[in-house]
Amino acid sequence: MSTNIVDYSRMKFYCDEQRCIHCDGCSVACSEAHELPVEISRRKVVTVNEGKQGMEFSLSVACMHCTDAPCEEVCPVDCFYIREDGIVLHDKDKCIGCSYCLYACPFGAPQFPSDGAFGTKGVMDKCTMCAGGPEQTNSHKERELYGQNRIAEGKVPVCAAMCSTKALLVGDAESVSNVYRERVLAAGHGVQSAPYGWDKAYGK
Amino acid sequence: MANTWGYGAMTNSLGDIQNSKAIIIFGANPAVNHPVGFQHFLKAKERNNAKIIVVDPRFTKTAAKADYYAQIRPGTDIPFMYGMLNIIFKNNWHDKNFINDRVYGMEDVMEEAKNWPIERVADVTGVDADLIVQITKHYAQHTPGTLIWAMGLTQHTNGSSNTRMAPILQLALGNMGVEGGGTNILRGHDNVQGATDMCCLSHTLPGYYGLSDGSWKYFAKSWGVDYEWLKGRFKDPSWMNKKGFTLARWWAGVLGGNPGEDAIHNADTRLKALFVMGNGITSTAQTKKVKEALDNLDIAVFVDPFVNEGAIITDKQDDVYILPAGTQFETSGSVTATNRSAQWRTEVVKPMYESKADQDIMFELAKRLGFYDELTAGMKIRENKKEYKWPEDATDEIARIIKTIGLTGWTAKRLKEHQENWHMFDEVSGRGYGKMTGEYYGLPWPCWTEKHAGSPLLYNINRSVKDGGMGFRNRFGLEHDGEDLLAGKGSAPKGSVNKDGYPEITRDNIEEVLKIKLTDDEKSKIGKNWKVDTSNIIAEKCMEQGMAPYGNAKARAKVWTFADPIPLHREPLHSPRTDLVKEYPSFTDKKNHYRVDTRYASEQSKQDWAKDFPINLVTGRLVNMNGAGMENRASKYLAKLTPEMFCDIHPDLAGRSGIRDGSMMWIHSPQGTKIKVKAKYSFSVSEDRVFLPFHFAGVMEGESLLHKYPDGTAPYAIGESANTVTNYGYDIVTQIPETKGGLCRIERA
Amino acid sequence: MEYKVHHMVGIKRMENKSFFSEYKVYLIIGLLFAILTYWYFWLATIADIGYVYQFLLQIAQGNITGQVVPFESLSHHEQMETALFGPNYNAIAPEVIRAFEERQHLLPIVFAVEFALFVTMFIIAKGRKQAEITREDDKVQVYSLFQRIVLMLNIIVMIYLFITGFSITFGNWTGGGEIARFMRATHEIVGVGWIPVWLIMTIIAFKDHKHFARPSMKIWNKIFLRGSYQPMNRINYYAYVAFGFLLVLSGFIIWWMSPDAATHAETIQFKRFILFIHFMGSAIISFFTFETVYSYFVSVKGYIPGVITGKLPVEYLEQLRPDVLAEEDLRK
Repeated sequence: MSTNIVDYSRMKFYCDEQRCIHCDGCSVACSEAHELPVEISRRKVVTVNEGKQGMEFSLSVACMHCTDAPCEEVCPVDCFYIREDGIVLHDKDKCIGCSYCLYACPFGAPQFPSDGAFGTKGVMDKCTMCAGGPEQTNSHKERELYGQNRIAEGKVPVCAAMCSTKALLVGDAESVSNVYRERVLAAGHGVQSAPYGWDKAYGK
Repeated sequence: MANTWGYGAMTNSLGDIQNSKAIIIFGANPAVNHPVGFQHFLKAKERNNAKIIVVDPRFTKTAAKADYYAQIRPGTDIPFMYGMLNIIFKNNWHDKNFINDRVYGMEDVMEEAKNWPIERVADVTGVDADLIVQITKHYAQHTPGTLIWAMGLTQHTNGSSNTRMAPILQLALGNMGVEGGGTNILRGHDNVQGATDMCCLSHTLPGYYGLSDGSWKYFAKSWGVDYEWLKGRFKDPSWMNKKGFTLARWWAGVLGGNPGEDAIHNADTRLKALFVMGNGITSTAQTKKVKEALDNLDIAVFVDPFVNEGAIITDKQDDVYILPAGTQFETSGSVTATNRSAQWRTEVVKPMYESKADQDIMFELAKRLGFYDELTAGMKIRENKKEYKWPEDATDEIARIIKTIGLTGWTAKRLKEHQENWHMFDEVSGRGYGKMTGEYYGLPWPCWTEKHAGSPLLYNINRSVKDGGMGFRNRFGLEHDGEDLLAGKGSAPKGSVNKDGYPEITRDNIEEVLKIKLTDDEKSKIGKNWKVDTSNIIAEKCMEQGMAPYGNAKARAKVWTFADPIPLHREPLHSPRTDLVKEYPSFTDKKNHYRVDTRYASEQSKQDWAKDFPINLVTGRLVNMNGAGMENRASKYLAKLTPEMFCDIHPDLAGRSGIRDGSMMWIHSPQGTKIKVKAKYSFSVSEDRVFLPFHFAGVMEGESLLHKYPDGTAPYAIGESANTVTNYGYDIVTQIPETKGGLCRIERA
Repeated sequence: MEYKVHHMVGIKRMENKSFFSEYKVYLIIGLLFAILTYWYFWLATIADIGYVYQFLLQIAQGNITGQVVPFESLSHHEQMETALFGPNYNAIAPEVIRAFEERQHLLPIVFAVEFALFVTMFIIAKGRKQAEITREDDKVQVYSLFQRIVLMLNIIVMIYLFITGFSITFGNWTGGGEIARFMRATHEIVGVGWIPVWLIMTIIAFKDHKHFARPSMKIWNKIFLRGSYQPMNRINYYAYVAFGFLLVLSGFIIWWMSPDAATHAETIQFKRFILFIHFMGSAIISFFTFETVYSYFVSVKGYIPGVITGKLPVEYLEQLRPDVLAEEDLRK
């Protein structure tokens, strides 16, 4: 194991496809906790190769809070801001709903409610790693717009907290990596060198 | 299972699975049905290098995590296990010492196993012969192995044979009573084990006491009511000992005697009133019959937090009542988990709006029906009170009375203490530390005394009885056909004064078997036997002597009171293999089976079902839904995940029938019913079967029933009930419906 | 009439001109396009052109997922990533990502260059051409009511789309917020509304119909705009049709295939490509729009009352738009 000092300098998500059983606990927990509209799926679970022996896997996908986040790069109105610990958040009041961030995102994290007349998109909504938004922490407005701010209360983001099999982990990158490493060593065979999506999100 | 070794419940625990070296799962889908519990399976796989073997008609989410997967034809688990046993016996992989000391009747099984060479098994089950050998070899050689099952094994006409076959397999390998072994039947719904223990069933009093006069008298005394008064509640005393209708076939009680319906034996009357309390009545087989019965009742009452769709499928307009019940958050009490342990739940919010907690509804009903005082008398006995306190006094009443499964230790005080200290127990073994040392989490029953630690692993003779150890129960007598049924020499729980097998303890044999002397005072207080010993002296003395009150016997592979003493393969009533039906026909028809004449062989051979209904039908669960789905389909995020009823169908099968992915299809049953559902291409089913989830209701044979929901109560998702097309068929002993293996015909809509 | 003879003589003389002088406008524009295409695709882009080509072929065959090789041929890791996140992100997305900030910097430069180009052309053409009108009352009905409505609508809508569209692009300048959001939302709605306008405009402005069939002139002229095209104006028209089509198609798809979490992996690659088409279409059409504005309103003085009534003085037409007068039914 690493040192006992956890400095939370870089928060990451990790989903272990050896454990994910597509129970959708994470996606439902997220929707419930933040009282999202039904058409938004901040977190979703995807199963690949369903029904095929040796090939079927499931993974829970949401915003990865990337290093050099592409969404932040492309936003025309610069409504994103990235926290010190890597959590990528945005300001819904500034957002104009152009959806460029969605096109730029490798993971499809930004979501748009069908808000307006004539099928226009509303403002962007995405996983906040339960860290709220630019409004005052734990204020009513923050809760209305962005959902719970659990990080500010020292709580685990609700998706990972609810994960049935602890496939989904979140937290300081080093601690998460350690858990991953332990599991890889315990399994002893047949796992890829990095969790899916980590090279896209956090670079090599 | 109870008929094999005394108790019919999960023998080990979920946490204990982390000790297994091999896990074989028959007809269960824990990844979907126990997602959190499945963590233990995965940890066993990760840390213990345990291999997971799944035997299931479809490639489930559990199978996706398995190392070996056998796509078995529904209803052929007995041949599969015989095939395994045949290989095991041939290669001497069985545990001879264990069998010798603790099992009766294995020779008959060995004989029968010879009728199942591997090619035969492969033909009948549809599983590749090599795979069966591989699975058997691995499972037999990596002990301790645990055997998991659920509805896939029980919901067949020979379900009770299936559930004896699996224990026999484990007994042959010596996997019983060890950490990481056991037969771990996974109970589904929250507190279903508790409901089972309280025997919300029509063939026994609470605690599995049965319906004999002796049991009734014990309960009369324990409840503090007059036995004669109880007797007088029945039409005549003979009815006191007769089994009632089951949940599976209550409707026959309404329709019985109609042309084409099975005859009933109900004292020449029909069922007139139905009171449904928290039961998804639309999730039992033959929904159309359920509807017909509901239509013909005098009064139907549905008590539920959400609108029970029983009220929706019926056309009855008058005398249908829907009473709002509170949820589990609006009441307190104990619940029993699948591993026989109890947990205390505390009320979070008072019952909202006009809803009442279940017990209050029952008390109100009892008041109006005139037996409220009798109903509540038992709660005041223990401390001789004037007023009872709910739920603590109810819990203590249960602890006081139920001895058969050793609930004596389940006082409200102890359970609450566990709730407050639930972080002080080990995840795998359940042992408490710190303040909770000496107790297992949830005090898994049997918890013989108020100091007992609980018994997390049944039949484990490597622990002392005080620490949860015991042998098999002496339930079936002392000998049969000249053979001793008590356990062999030296196979008693650790630290026992009596090192060999011994019978269940009674007033008459206690001094001899326990090698003690009772005082006169004790002799006057002691009960007739351990099951009716209100004084609990028997249990206390047994604990001192390190012995289990229920004896130490052999498990029996042969149940001489059953239609099939050793399990035999019988094809499902509606089988796709007409040739095998001739070789392995079902049972002879059973008269007065829980008051209904039930057809077996006559139904099976009525016509060549496979000809017109060639596709095997399997039903099962979805992870985001539960039971009849009333609650989940009214929850928007859960409904969003599966908003429509569907049928998993292999693309090739669909292609042959001209059914496109996402288009509608009809499914017809041999009973003449049909449903219209959306086809969903899936490789998880093979080409000869389809899969239906059973959580939907609100559409009947293509017609939407949406308009029948009271304003504002319609759930977000409605759909056809799978059980509209599940076939006729009921287990020979329990009458559970044969939903996991019927036939159907599909066509494009 | 004098002018007409002059004109006809001019036509005769044209037959002796060289290929180059006759088609010079087309050649110049064509060359510029070729240079632009070469520069973009082979020098400036970081998208994987080979992939884009394959993608287009797949789209033609109905596969819009962006998976250009069979899914089954991918390694397990690649399969997982593709099924979860969509295919080959790097092949298209950098274009969308990187070009974004650059667009805000480069576009003003491009517009400035275009502006300089027009100023230059203005100087070379020696200022604005005007018609001398002596007989104000001698007018002919050139544009029907229907045509006037379509033309006005087209102008107003395009102006609105330009403004709101570039408000999205120049987000750094607007800073976001309520108004910018409103502009973006109405850009989508008005854009969809532009589809029928563009379609009708395409039809009625098809002045080259003369080269194809000639049924009753009366009906024909009620629909099609009068006159015939000069080379540059023809180019403007066909550019309007072609890039308008791309904008209409891509805009409609962006609006219709609203971002949907459930189908994300299957549709996102296509949406990225479509977005790129939309940007490209708007950039190019803006040049031809400026050119149209220049040739109809800047290099030539227009007759404003005619915009409302549809009637233009004959003298005006004689001097500046003889091709309109060449239509038989207008000749009195």
